[in-house]
Amino acid sequence: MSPLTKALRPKKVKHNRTGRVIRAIIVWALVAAVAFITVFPYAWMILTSFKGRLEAMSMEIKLFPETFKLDSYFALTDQDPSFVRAMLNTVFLELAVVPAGTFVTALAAFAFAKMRLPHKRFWLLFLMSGMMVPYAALMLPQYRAFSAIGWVGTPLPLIIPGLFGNVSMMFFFIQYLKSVPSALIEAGRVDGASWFGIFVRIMLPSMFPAIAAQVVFWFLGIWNDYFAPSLYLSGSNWLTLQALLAQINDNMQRMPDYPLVMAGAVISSIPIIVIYIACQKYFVQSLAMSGMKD
Amino acid sequence: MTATRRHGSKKTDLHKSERRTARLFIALPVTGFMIFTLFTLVAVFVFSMMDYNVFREEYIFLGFQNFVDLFSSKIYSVAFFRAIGNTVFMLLGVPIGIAVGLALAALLQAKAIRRSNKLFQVLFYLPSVTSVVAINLVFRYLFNPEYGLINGILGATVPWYSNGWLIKIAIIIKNTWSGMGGTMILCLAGMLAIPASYYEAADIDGASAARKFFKITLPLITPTMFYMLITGVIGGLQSYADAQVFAAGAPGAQTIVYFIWQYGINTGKQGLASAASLILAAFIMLITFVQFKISDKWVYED
Amino acid sequence: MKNKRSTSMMKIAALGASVAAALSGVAACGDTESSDPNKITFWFWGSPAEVAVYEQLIAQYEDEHPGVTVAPTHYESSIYMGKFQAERKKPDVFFMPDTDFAAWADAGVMLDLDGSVSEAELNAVWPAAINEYRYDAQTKSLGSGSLYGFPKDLGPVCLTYNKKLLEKQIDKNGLDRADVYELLDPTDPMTWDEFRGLLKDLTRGETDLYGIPYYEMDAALYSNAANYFTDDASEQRIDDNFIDAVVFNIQLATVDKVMPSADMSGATDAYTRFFNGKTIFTWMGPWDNADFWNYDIEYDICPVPYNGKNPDAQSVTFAGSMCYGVSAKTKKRDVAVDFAKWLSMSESCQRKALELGQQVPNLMDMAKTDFISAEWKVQPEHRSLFVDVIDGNTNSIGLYESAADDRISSKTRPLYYTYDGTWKDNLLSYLAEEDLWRATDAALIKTKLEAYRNDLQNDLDIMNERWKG
Repeated sequence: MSPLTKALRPKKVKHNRTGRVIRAIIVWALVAAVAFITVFPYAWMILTSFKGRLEAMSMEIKLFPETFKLDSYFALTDQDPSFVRAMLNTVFLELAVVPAGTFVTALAAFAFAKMRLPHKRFWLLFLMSGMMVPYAALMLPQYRAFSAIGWVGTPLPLIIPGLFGNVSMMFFFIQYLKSVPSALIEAGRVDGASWFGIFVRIMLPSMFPAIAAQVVFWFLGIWNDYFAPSLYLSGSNWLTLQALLAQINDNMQRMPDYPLVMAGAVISSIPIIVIYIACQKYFVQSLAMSGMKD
Repeated sequence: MTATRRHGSKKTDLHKSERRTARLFIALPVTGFMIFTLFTLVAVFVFSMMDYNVFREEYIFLGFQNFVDLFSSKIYSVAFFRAIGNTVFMLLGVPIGIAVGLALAALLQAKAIRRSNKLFQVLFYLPSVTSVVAINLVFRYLFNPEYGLINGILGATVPWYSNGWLIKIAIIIKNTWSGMGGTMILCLAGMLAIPASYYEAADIDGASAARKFFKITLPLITPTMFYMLITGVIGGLQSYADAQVFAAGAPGAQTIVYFIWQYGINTGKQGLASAASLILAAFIMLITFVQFKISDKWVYED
Repeated sequence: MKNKRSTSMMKIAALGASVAAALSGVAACGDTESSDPNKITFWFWGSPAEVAVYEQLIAQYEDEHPGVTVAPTHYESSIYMGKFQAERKKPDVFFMPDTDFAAWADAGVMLDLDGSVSEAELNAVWPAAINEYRYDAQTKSLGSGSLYGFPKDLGPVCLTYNKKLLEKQIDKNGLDRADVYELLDPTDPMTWDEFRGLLKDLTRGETDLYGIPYYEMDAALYSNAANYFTDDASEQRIDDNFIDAVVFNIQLATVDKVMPSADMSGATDAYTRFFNGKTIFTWMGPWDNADFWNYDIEYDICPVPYNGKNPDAQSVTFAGSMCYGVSAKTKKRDVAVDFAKWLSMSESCQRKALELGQQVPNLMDMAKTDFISAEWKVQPEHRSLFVDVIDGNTNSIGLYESAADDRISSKTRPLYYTYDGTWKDNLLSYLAEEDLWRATDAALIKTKLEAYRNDLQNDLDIMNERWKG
């Protein structure tokens, strides 16, 4: 139980029973209403995935399919590349970028937060200004550069920049590390450990909750991104899940095939839900620890 | 931000090696920034001074003409100002999204649903895990003026797509939906970081739940809200997919990034698109700077 | 200290660069660039069904030409031109839509094909389709000069109607079937007034059933001997004919109410409305046939209506088209040209496209005989109209003058005649912002359109400055 829920529980029962019941009813009604709003479009997506193509285009609102058809799910395997391949591509991209990129980011955050570094403020602002440059501004010249060295059609343009770290994640880690006592480092120094050794053996484990949360965020970001993957990977076998969905949707512009897109979207959401539930604990805790305080 | 400094220490040599190591540790992000952002930005700046004809791959030096054209030449300025207006209006979605996330987080603290708290966290987070492509399709259906569910509930034929204001409002509603899970999680985290002792003290004073929320919770999570505001505004100013996919290019929803894409790719005027990009980048930096300045007035500091 | 910092930075940068170089080497190995003189690259787009067709065609070509390999790549249509633009090394053979043809032919990116095709080969193909891909780089004019692309297809867009729904509405409203079908005669186009009257009769008293989901502006303009500009795109042509056509289009919704209002039309695409039986007519090109078969619908086609009050007006629809271009820098010129020509003009390739219901064959003889008699899953009775429209289209440039003897013809889309589409984006935005789609008053529409003349001229002037210097 969180400290806040504990705190919000009154020490003495001040309200009478009816008041509490009314309160509970209001809260439940509100929560149910919000849950309806968040679940409804998702449920619609699932139900549409079982409809026929013409049925899904219907101009009358019918929530449930006439019969539950699995055709769209089977049709996903007929895509080029197949849906399974696209999912493996996405997983590969995640594994190639997230672990290494997170390590690089954490190392830099450690240097910023805990080490003597000349012109620290300048370098930090320098890096953060990168967050403010719109991707659209960089997209065209970057595309040309990647095209010139033959990277277009390969996942490299989506992997290599990530290996140099992630600035917003770094900002987050720096804030978080402020709450990790520096005494740990002093102790390590006295024992003669190298800075890298201190980072790996002392800092990394103590940053684990923050890393878990940020890894999930980054994972989700890559999983749901379709713009850059479409740009760099379409026409190749390296297409990611969301780029494949965007492609299916684009190809169907004259004659939409909603069930097919929805079936793909349903499948692609399952791994993220599983990861979210598995990491929920770390998520909220680590965010809390960093405090986000300036 | 700065680490503890010790002057006149005997450990100068050690400090030197520490500095060298620290520089090494930040070298990769700095190099990455230089390669992928700075060099590219220089290229964008060079492009912005040119009329680059993408078909012929010809460059004509124009100086600052592209910038002048964006603001004064009728052929571009109407679309450019419209794009700025739309983008700025749709930023309204950022504070709305934060408010909704905050409300949800507060709701989840309620005692009555304590046992189902985790379940509702998952349900409230569902929008965040849904594919963007699917979200756009579903919401296009929901907002359909003739047979969409939203007009069905309202009992009116609201022209969501053809009215320049309504399309922006529809986009704000859609984005609030898809973003509420994320802002909720961040608010929840901010709330859990508040020491329980504050509330205990308030309880002793017999403060009501509402009073506790406004006097303790709200001020103490302002740093979280500030973080969300900054990242939300930066993200909002770079919005593109809503104009392209959801609004299918309707003038009422065209954003600055849509303008950049339209001119850079579709009509082959990369110089003009680059100039617009630089203006946008400068605009984002300015807004972020102002937000940081104003933050002293309302963001709680320890 | 500064030096030291920069050295450690430099080391990392150098490391990064060498890793990048190594990786780019890896990437280059998988690149389509090949020294094999018989291996060519081919870019295209299409639905999964079309992609499958091209895979079959390529296999067939490779069978017929042992030793030759075609490496195809397909992109979504929405990003295709962006990819093409950004690609430094253009593919050997590629799709090029009519709307983008002028700029790329002008830039010298497309190979001059004049010497690669015989007179006899050209004579077998629709002259309009061939002429469309001629460009004179000296005079910067379209329709004459060297050939820069082999036509993929020529697709006139016609009106189509849902037969069962039509007949249901005829009976419901007490109309005479013979009278209605006389109006829909594929050889005798309706006038605007007849069309308007028919739609009103068919949809009398209906609240959510429309006659037509939207009206193609190009078809309205062309069928009133009007256009946005002169065919060399130098002068705007917002004249009375232009205004009458726009008024006709707008008033179908605002006055006649046979078309959804601007508020309703945008959100629901035409085919959704058509397949849901919420509109009797809609627009279709020959490429739509295969898709129509997927839905349980009986359909037929008729010519676009023309303005009966304008003595110069004929039934002229617009035609969409694409060509197969060959890169001017290709190192495999002979193979690339041969493949592009095979796709465009070979008997076997055209027959395949015909069977699949994707296009009217480029070969005139095949179009006039086999296209009309081919066994399709659904047989639109008047499909020969597609051929007649192309047949009337002797020259896609400056058509009104030359087509006086033919009552049904087509003309290339307006965007074909211009270097880029800024003029159109701006015009459409103007119509939307001035709220003209909700206007009922013809005089008001006229005033607003006349007020736009200078702006359109200005857009054209800036475009032509870039194009013609």
